[in-house]
Amino acid sequence: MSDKKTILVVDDDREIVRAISITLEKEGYNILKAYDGLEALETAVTNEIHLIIIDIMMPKLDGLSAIMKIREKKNLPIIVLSAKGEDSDKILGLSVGADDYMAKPFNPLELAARVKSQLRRYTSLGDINARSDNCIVNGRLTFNLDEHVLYADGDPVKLTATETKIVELLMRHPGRIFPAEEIYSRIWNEPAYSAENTVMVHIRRIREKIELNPSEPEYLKVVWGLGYEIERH
Amino acid sequence: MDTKSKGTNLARGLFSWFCYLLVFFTLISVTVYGIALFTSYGSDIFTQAERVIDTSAQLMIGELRELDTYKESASAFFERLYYNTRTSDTEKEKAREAANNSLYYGTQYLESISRDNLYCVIDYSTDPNGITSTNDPNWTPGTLPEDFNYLFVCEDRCVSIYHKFEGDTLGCVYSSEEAGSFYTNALTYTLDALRKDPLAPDIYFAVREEATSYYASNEIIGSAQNRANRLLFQLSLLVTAAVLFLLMLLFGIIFRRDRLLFTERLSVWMRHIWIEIKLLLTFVLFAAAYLLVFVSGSGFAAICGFCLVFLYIHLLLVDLSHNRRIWRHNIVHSVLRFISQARRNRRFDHIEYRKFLAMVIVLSGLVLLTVIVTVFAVIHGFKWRFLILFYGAIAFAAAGTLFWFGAALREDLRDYGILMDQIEKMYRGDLNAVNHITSASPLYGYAMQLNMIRDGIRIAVDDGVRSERTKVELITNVSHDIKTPLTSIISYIELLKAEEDLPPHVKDYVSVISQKAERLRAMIQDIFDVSKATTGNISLSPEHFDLKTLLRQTLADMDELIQNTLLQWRVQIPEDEYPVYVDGQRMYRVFQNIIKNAAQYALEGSRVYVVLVKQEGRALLSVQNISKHELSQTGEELTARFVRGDASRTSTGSGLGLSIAKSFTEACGGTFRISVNGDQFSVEITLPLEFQPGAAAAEEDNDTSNA
Repeated sequence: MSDKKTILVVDDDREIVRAISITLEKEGYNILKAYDGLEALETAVTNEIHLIIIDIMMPKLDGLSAIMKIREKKNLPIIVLSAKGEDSDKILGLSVGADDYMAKPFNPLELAARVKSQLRRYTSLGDINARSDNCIVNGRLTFNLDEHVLYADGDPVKLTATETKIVELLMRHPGRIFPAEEIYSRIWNEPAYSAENTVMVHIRRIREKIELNPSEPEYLKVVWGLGYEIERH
Repeated sequence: MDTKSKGTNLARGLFSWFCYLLVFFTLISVTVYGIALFTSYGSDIFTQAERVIDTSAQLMIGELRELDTYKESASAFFERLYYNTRTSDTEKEKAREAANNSLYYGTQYLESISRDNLYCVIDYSTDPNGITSTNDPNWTPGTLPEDFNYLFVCEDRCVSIYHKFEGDTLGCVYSSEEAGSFYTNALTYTLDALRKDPLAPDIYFAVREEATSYYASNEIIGSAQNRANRLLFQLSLLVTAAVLFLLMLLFGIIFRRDRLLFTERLSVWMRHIWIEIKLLLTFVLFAAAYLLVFVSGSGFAAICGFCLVFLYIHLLLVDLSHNRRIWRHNIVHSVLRFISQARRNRRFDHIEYRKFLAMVIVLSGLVLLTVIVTVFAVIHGFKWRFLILFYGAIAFAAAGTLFWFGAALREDLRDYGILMDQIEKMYRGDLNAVNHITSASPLYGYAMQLNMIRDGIRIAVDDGVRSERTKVELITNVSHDIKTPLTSIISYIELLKAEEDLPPHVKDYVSVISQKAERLRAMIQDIFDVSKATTGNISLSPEHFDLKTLLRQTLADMDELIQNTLLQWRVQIPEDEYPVYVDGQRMYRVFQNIIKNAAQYALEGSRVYVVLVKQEGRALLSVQNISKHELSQTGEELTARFVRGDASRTSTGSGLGLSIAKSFTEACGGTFRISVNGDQFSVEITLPLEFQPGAAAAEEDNDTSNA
């Protein structure tokens, strides 16, 4: 069994492809390279590939069309790169079958983290679920209610007791917005005093442990004006 | 020079024209007079004419005593003598009756005539031998002494008249025995009376040739002379008239061209008179002529009447021959032309006012006409049918005028309304509003101008939108084009960082590059955001929440930054409710930016005040601090893009923070104001608070006052 996963990196900017390749090779992946949509399609069909990183704006065949064609034949995680960075582009990318989206300019380390996360979810998610029935699964996060342990991409996250309580509260109600006062009163069991700062400090710490890019959180979010939530994925 | 000769021509023409008219007036007078004579004298007119001619002829010869007048005067004296010498009263009475009471004057009359004339009356009524009464006993009756030229002899009821001709020959000019011979008309009655009178006296009466006394001369010669003088005067008048007539005729013929020129000029003047006035004048003129000719009964008036008619016909012919389209120049036409002319150059209000004036004038004219006709009707008793017809016509005309004015006014006001509507629509931003006012409307010009303004605005707006869009596209494309190489830069910086065997100073360099790359990334994002926000291209997802919570969250989120500054933060958040309905994410950016701004630019050690209050139904957040740098810009300038308080731009930040904050606040329906007072720098953000039952009234008041 070859442990090495093969990743196809597609971008018309060769330097970017090279930089991504170097970063990912260091992480221990096999890298295939393509520089336009048609080449990507060809490579994807002819080789065994575990993940594709593809740019949207490309000559010959654009990224979105390529994704749709690949999706017809293969079931594999796809991460989209785009310089546009607008919400509408992100939604469009995800709707045609991309699994993740990265706006340029991005940090290659974050990309590596995302690649790892995607591969984990596609390959070993079943193992985590099999470990215990008493789990709350939300995207790449899994909370084991028996163990009171949070798993991110299958790896247990080291959280303090308070942090675990907060995560459990939020994980039990994904999508529900908790005001700082409520979180404070539930976790600390005492009336809220300067709840916002205290809760915010903890939230920030948890984010740094579970989010791939803590400055642009995907799970643990501040709903401005209302409170905090773990977004349903 | 030319005008002068024209002027003289005109004067000559006027004179000639007058001559022409007078010739015709004379002809008319003669004709009318002739007709009048003929009707009054019948066939005698020729005898009369003969007499006049005879008399004239005798006058021409110069013998006064041969005049019929002289004879008649003498006969009259004889007559009176006969009556006045009757002795008995009954006789006198009888004689007087016979003479229709008119010839008896009494005895003083005898004295009066006896001064110049000789008489001898032998009366047989009381004495068969007769009583002789005479004024000169020396005179032998029946003879004609010197200086006397007429002798009347009445013997045995027979009258003979003798006349001394030239050369002292005496001839009998009349004898009543010779039947049929006629001397003068005056004696007819007396001769008859004499014949029937059985006691008729014998009368002898001699008439002195040259009158010696004033009295007698007046009676016989004077009257003849008077008559002669009158006749002479009339004749000379006639001759003068005839000469004048001929002269006028001559002038009329000689200056015919001038006259025609004048009539042409006259026709030009008449062209300006409305046909209605002409008709009215015709009516008045014919009425006057009728009155003069048939009602007054005076010959002169009749002549005047005929002359008027002639003048009228003449003017009519002049008018008709020169002014072809005489009917075109009527009041209605003039009014319409006036209006259409006015329409071309005048302002709308002038046009409307003129229309109103035209209506008033026409109505006044109708009223005047009605009054005139009514007065005539009352004086002359017109038939009621005619009056009803006339009043009906007047009423119809008045109603028509009013209707015309009403309809025109309504149309104009409708067009006016259309324009007002369009202006309102355009004001509200509907630049597709076009008016379709007809070219006949007085507002047409304005309407077209408005349409052109609309086109201009639309083009300008389209241009503005297009250029704004181009700007956004440019910024989007530029930031996109920058992002791609930046991706490479960041990626290779990460690779460099991962290198382990780099010397420490190189690692330091790498970290500098890394920081700057990160800053560049933030700037690009900011540019992108602000360009989208200022062009209204951002999508908002507003939610109901408490602004207080958002502020606390923001402060908590930025706690680390806040704690790391050398500033004293004074945060005042009252425990009130601040319900708002805005995009929390955007407002977080706003708060974040202004707090960052304060943290970055406040003077070290100074205090920063963050205060949230309610003000006039709005939530007001103010952040005040003392600026580190001297601020040369105004509040407005500070919110402009890429402006920073420190002109040297040494600090970090894109310079877009406040601009983004302002754009986002305004996109969320709030206001964003920066005031700079010396080094005092304050940001004031207001957001509309959501409806609350208690605050409803206050909120509404503020809405209107802020609108």
